[in-house]
Amino acid sequence: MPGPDAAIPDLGPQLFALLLRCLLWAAVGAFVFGASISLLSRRVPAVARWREILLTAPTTRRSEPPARAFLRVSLGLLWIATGLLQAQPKMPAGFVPEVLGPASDSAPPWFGDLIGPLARAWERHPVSADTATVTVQVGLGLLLIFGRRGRLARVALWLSIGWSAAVWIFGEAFGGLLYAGASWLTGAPGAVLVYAAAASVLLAPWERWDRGTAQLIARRFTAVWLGIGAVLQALPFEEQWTQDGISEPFRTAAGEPQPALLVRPIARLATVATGHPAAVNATLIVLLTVTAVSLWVSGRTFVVVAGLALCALTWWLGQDFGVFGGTATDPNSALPLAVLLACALPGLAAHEATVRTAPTLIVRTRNIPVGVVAALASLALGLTIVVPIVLASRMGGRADAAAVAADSNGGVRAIPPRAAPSFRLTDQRGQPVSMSALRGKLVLLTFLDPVCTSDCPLIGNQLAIADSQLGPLAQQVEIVAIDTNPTFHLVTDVQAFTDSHGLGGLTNWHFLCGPPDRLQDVLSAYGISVDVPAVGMIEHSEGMYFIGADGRQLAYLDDGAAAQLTRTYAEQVRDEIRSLLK
Amino acid sequence: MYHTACAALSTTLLATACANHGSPSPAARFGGPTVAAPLPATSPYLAVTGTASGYAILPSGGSWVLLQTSDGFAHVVNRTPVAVETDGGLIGSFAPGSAAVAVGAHDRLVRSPVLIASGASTWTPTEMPDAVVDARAAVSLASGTLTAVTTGGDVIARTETGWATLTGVARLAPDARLRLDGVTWADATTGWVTGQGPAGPAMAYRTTDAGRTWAGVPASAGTTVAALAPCGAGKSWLLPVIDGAGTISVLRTSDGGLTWTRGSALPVPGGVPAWACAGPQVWMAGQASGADRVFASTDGGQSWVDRGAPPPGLTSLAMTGTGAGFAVSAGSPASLWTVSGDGAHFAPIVLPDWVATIGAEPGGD
Repeated sequence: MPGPDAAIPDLGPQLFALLLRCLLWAAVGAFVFGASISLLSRRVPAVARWREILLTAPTTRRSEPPARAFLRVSLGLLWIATGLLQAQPKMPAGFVPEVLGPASDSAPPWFGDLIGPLARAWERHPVSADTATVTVQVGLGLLLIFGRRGRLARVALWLSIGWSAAVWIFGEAFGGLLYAGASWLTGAPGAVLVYAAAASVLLAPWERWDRGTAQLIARRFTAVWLGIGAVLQALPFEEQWTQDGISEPFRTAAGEPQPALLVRPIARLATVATGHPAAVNATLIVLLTVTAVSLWVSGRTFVVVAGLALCALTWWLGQDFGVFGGTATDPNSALPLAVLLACALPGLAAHEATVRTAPTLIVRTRNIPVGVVAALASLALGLTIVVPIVLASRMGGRADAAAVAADSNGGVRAIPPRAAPSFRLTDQRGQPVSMSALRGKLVLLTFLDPVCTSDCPLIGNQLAIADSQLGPLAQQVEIVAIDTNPTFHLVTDVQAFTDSHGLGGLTNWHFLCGPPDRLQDVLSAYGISVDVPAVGMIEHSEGMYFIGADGRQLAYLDDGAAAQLTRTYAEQVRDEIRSLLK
Repeated sequence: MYHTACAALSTTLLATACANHGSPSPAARFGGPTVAAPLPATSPYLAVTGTASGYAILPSGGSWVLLQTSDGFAHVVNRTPVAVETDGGLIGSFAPGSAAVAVGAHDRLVRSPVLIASGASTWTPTEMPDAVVDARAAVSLASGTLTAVTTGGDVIARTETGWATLTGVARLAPDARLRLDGVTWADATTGWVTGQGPAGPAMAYRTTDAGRTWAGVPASAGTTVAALAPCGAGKSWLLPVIDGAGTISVLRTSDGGLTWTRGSALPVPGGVPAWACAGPQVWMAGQASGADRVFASTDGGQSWVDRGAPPPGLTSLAMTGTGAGFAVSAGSPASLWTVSGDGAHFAPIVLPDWVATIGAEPGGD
């Protein structure tokens, strides 16, 4: 028998397609904006002056210190990589349940309150929100790459810091510091803080780069970061001395799909960490501590290289390059930390005269015509600021068309219009109710446990609210719940639930019960699974079918718990009914 | 002694009883719905149905579990009602051939499910029209009839067509702010309800006509602020009562409740009162010199013998024979004990590991 999983298509690809389309339009819009600025700057003196203000540096220096150029371009590339990760297929639908959700579950309740508005906005507008996030990050990267100097470059750096802070709070849940398990391996205290640190170092005057002060700050920041990592590894409440704690990153990484050559050492390390957690953690602490102290006191090449090697190994073995899994939002901490540390390599601390021999990674924007630079910078500015503002301004209204079709975590989904499985059960009044007898009206069919104390009462209450908000339209609707509890399956049980949760006054409400085997047949037909644990409430899958007057399934509302999070369950039900009755 | 006892009282009821002397407002004393029963079902307790058989209601994770034994708790089986959340406590009535367990209401579970079993059969579910009181004696299955005390203050009985109200605080003591928390039946016609409230009115009532009429037990009025569920059979009954001064004493009758004699008083224990009886024998955990002690009486509570210190946190005593039985104490996890020497000796019973963890991850939807 088909269940919801079989009946309902996975709309992730649809959302991804919408995301790509949205990104394309954003890029076109930004390009038009950039080209317009470029053209206008040649013809309109005011725009030309604006271009000069944006791109002209308040310094007479002609060439950028190579270490700074390396860090600037690297940070730009990191932002672009981060933006592209945010454009992965799973991101529009998966960001809330797979990124925000786990962080919120483990964090204190106030964090849930803090990110609640963001989660709700994202769920209502998954494509717009993801597009805005991608364009901000790609735009920041482009601004950094092409914004070598001038006010625009400084704006890009300050925007980097601000955006990093926002991502650290909302996307990384304060780098995982709010709950147990934060460690060097997991990237605590937050990869994006390294981005902010790099941007801060880049804000230093060029003269400080010439003197090596900026490189010293970068190196010592890395030392401090490694020291924090050692402390996190050592703190008992972070659980890194336990088998589960220390081996978890390795086990997780080993489980991600990736080339065997990459995963084999990780799997081996997972085995060792599981067998000898204390030894592995102690070794890691010693490595981190020794490297941190060395980097603090010395900037010699072999010390920096040792630090880079530790970062590289961590990025591979502990952080699995940060990108496998489909919902990584950044390359994790070891890579940006290595980039930051690399700018402290003595070989990069070259004088202005040696700039021509700098690594080819550096984009020599000074060789690109200023008009092109202005256009690219304007394009980046459009991506970073204009596109997100335009998208954000739309997010206060109705949900995206995509979100109406399928918001990122629960929401009404169109399903193939096949005949709803039939049933004949008894309602809370003791009256028989069958699927065929409900023909002619729109049927909302859901599945509830009459002695449940978690979601079911809330769903019942939301249904009552939705029904009251429908007004006269409610006469065209029958709300039906099927009893999922194999123990409490009597009329008195569903009657008690009805009376207890404000549903007794609804003439179109039917809470159906019956013999357990007959109930099970109906539940199976609709793809609802029920598990009865040894102690406690039953566990059952949730969902609501919208069944047309002709008895055919029209839509499916997934996961009532997620709908609770967004507080739009009653709204979604009401709006869907209104839409279907049009 | 009075002040020492008051300082040590930890149950809400007994703390309230002490406060009676300092607060003139009965509403402040017993007006809230959160006053705990003297014998709450959300503390570990035992119910024995034979010398080696019985039940234990213990915490497990965030839930409460019902364990059954037939060999003195050497082995236990999980008899927790399934498919319903049990973190509001379990209120049971147990007899050798039958059992009934009401699921304590909490949160959004505002009507208590009740499960009834005969012999070794599986539970038959039903549902009360209201929530059951969080008190160990709030459910009674006797002579084939299930009765219960609800948080609404009614004593209800299950009939073939549903539930009928036998009595309630509105009828028994409409102005006394009485809170009922126990119902006990001697047979099909004689029964008792007990409760708590401000000193003055009767805290226990008796019926001899299957609940049609009820009369207050005069001896439970006056300074009494709570009566515990009585213990006895036929015409002989023992009724422990707690007074506002923080002492507990046993009322006894040998004529079915027409006349009563009050025994000597003991200071109340620091925790939940733990007591047991078998005929005229009574065991009571009370305080002496600031520490809990077990006292035994062979004359229905007229005189007491100090039997020594019980394990800390004792919440239930269940005596099964000549000076022997079982006990349970609160803790994490709760501990079961065998009792011997007339309450003088306590030896721990090792329970399987699953007892402490089986309720740790209850389901949900």
